[in-house]
Amino acid sequence: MNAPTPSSFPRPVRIGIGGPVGSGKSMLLLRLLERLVDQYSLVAITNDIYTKEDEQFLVRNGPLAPDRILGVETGGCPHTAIRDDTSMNEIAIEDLLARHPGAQVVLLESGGDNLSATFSPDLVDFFVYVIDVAEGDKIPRKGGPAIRFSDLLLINKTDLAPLVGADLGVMDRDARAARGERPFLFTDLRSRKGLDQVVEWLEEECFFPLRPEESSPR
Amino acid sequence: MVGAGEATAGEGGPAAGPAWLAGLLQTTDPLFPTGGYAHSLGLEPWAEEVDLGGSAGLAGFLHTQVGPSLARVELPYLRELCRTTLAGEWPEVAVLEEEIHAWKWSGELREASLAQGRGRLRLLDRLWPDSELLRGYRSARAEGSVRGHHLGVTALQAGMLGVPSGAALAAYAYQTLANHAAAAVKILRISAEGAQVALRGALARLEEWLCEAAALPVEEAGWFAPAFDIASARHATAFARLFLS
Repeated sequence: MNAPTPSSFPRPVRIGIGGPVGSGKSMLLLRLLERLVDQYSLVAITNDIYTKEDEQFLVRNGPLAPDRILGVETGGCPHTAIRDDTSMNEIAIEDLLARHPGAQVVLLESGGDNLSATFSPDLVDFFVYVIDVAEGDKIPRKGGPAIRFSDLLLINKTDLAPLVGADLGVMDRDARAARGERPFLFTDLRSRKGLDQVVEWLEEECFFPLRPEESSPR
Repeated sequence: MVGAGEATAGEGGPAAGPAWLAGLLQTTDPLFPTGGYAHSLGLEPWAEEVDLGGSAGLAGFLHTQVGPSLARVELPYLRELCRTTLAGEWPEVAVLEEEIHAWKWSGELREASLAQGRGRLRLLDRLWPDSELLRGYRSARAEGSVRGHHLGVTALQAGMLGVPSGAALAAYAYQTLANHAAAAVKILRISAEGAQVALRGALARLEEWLCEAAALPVEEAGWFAPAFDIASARHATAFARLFLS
């Protein structure tokens, strides 16, 4: 099931997935694994505060072999594990790459935190930030480094908008104001709505080193 | 076994000065990312076991658990590790690390020590890649003779940076006490300032603990706190917890 690994690139592309608890990070990871597993050699890391719930979710529901998934327990500071002291995640990546030296893509899901959580540029090459409409349509307006500077912002669970009184027009306006030219997408990852665009963005913006004709030392 | 420019100080050597001090400050700082923030090193389960309360409770914990454990186990072992590491006596280092492993009765505390050791080793590798001492330790670890406990890597770091062992011991003791104070703010009903009050009280006894450690041969080192160890072991199956140990 897992794609074979050719490889003439120096190291795997590392993609971080961040966002508040319950926004849909694990669902995004699951959907990406489903879509990408036959094309790329993937490994995945999940961060949880004091369980390995998300790791088990992926093992149960995802298409990836269990030895390609590693759960990192971060303790009570999930933002520290992805930004200020990434040593536990770096070690997890080392361990996964020792098992699968040809891995092409590392998908790393954060443990979920507040709007100011961002990834260390040493840890990941690109990061996707996931918020959802049920948190309130004011969220994009609140800003913060993740809303403003993530490489891709997803506004997820759009199907819930009428039920929670969230105005997608307001979220669209405020996301544009907060992010300028940086991309954002509306998604409902559970029903795979918007997933094609997310994959398209990854292929275009992040996976170019994996295409032999465009590969260059990084 | 010692590379040019490293570990010339040992005990009272010529490099005693800013050259090693800067390295010691950098590697002792909480900003030095080794994963230590995720561990309370037994404070969280102990606070569940006994009602520690606030600043006075933390002070009591530092005085009755952490300080004596430093003085009677960790610092004597660190002193010996500094000596043997600097001499490149890897079989001796391996024996000392095995004993440290055995002294950590709770699995979580053993894992915490190994995880922090690995995190620190990784960073030393990145910051001082040309150290011969580091290469020697790495080889011994790759062969499986040394485990890479935090104390072992701390001794390696002292040797690499030319830190006199007395200063290395004081810095390690400070780091341990301060780590507990930082964790306490998240675990106890205590403010950051209250934690500093407790830390200050413990640091007032630092010299006493260092002297006690200096007088203790490593063959006689030991500290028995069964209630603390049992609480630490229970932490592994706690329903909810903030820290990994």
